[in-house]
Amino acid sequence: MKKNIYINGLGNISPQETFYQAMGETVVEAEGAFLTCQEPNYKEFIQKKLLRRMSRIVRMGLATAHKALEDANQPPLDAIISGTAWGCVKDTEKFLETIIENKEEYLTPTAFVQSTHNTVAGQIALLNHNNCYNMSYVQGNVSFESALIDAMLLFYDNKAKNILVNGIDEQTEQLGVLLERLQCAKAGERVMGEGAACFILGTEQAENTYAQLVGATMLYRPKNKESIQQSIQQVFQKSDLDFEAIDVVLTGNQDQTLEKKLFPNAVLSHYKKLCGEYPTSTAFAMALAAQLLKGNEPTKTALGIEKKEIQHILIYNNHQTINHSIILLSKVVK
Amino acid sequence: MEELIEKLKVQIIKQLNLEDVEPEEIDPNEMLFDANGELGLDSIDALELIVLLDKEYGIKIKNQDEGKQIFHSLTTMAEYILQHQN
Amino acid sequence: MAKRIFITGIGIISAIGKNTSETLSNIKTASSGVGEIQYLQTVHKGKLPLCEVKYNNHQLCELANVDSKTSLTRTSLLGIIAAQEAWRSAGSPVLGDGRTGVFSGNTVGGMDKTEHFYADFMQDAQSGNIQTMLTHECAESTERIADSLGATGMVSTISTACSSAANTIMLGARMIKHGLLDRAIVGGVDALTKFTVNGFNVLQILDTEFSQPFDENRRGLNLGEGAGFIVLEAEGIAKEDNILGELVGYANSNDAYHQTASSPDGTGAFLAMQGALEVAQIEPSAIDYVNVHGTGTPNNDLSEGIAMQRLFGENIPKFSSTKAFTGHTLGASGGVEAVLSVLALQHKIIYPNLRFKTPIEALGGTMIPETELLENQDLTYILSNSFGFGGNTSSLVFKAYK
Repeated sequence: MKKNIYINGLGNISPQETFYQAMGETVVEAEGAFLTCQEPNYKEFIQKKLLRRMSRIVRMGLATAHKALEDANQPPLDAIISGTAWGCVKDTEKFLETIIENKEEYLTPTAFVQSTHNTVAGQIALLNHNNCYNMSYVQGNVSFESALIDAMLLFYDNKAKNILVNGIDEQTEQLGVLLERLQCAKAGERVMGEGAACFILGTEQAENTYAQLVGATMLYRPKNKESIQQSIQQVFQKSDLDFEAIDVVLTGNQDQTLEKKLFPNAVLSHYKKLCGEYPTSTAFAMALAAQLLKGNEPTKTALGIEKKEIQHILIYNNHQTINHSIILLSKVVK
Repeated sequence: MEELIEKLKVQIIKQLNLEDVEPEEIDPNEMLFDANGELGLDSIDALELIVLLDKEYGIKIKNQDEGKQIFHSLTTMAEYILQHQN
Repeated sequence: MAKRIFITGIGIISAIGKNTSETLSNIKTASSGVGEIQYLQTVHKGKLPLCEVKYNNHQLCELANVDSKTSLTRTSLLGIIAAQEAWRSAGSPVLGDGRTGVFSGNTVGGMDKTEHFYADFMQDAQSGNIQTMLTHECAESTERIADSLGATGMVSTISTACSSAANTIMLGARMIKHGLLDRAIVGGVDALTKFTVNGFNVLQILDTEFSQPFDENRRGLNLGEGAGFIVLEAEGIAKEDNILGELVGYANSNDAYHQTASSPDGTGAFLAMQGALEVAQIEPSAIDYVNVHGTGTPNNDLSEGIAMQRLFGENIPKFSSTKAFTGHTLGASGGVEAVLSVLALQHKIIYPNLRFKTPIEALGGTMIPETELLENQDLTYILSNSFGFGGNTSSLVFKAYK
């Protein structure tokens, strides 16, 4: 049942320079309450004719998918699985506003069609003429983890050899206003972000393999810290690892007491300083982890990690102690 | 008629978000919905054009089939508008 | 790892009833839930028929047993009501052991409240009750459902338009089969909103009359709302007395043809149905009844019909669309129809496809759904289809437990 799963390709759009290279030389810091993505020239990847209808989030999704597939040497896909919490914000706003302004008249069909949460996954399938399994998860801070777990189950069932998984969320000006009103975003204290990270997972190790995806899990309202510890233990069991083996913990949490206690040998790094807070930020973290395990120095520098040998990385994030997510990656032996 | 066609070009570019398309580039007799054509519009665009006709010209088109004839080209669109506009 | 997946509980609320018993009653009297708009505030009132749940939010609070001053959205209330019924009918198992999954399909989340907030927000960016935005996301109703049941373990929400709920049922089964969970509450919920009604209206796929699925003269769909949840339990965990049926097949595919329209050769639909039969390890001839997606749109019914002909050849099983009763409940439809499929197995009935008159010519005029309620049916396998925007196609196979 158990299978080795490898990260064979990735595409990453984030507030840092992570698309055309693993990580920029200079770290971009937030100026106000928001970090905004550095975007590529989409015309390189998508035909003008098709591009015009696509909202920003769809472009981000398609560009990172294109990059990841290229990176992995264009394997045939058996599944496309997307994780997004906020969904297609811009189109949702547009349609909603038009409804209110025009009192339900003269409405634009494009905005409605593009507002559905599975638009990104659907567009990736459409453009790649792919009839394979196609799923979109919209569970807040565990949207990406839901997608990963789904992918892992497909691999275990021998239903797939190569799967595209992404975690994607977009900011808009209006959303920004709402987040500030909700006190989720506050200049100098709480920085909100956005990003699109896409991965090609496969059962065969390749020339370009970044790392092995050892395990992932998510927890809803775990009873106590012991439950969380037990869950992490279960993820370890599958690969004979233990808490002491973890070299780096990429944490999304302000309160890192649990991480410090459980991982005595690990360097802790708060990855959100590079991408801001947003529901699928763990996808960004996984991209960073993959780059670290491939030996990328600028990524190491950006995260403030000095440790020389990195074999195993754990990503841990929780949202208001309700939704917890854990991802474990290991270096591959070539 | 020509004035209307020029106006339509600008409106269509805006309504369909045809980035980087200049009005001069659209041939008034070119088939709008030809998949291999320059513009390659599809059924969702047809619905957008129905909204456009309603909003800007007060003309209501009942369904997509009716739309297919009218939206054959810019010229046919302009002719229809001139015939049916209040 | 051939763990069987049993269905031990079902719960439903829709335009034809607030629970399974009312639903069955209305089906038996051929009482459709479609009608003039009563609850939704929209300019389309009097022009477009809808299948609304016949309770306002205050009444839904009573049914859900929550304080009427709640901030819960209509979506959450509907979901809680159906999920609670499913849980009770499963014998109210303890769900707080970290081994329960709650997976819900949903498309517009708390938009029923958001659209009111937005009206204020657009006038003045600092106005409106900002707390409303906390209930906006799709995940919100799923978490409220999980909390109302005391469920802990894994919670997730799938949003793949009209196939959302069917996909959660598939996810729950796979999670249980792999030992990640012992049980899962799965299905979906969606409430009617101006957003959806206008969205579908502008795509010109709504019927201004009462819909006629699979009819030659069909004009479009009637939107509906509601929730349908089933409880899946692993072999070994499920108590014999509680077993209502078994989930034996499931598959998801993608049409990859167009953002909203289905392909003319029904590729996605065909692959989904075929895939589900493969998982169930049965031949098409084993299917006794197909609960079709059958929205009543010119496009879906033709595409689905073609796919069925590709799969079943000349031997099309008995089939019907129950959307003529419930309307198209979007994210909930796979769940609502899963409940109806289990009820059909339990009560040995096949549902009528209301308002059908003329078979679709393009399908050879031979695809005729059942138009009367059939009783005392010998049913073993039921196939249920759910096909959504983005080309997302899913099918489920349910088996009678004898």
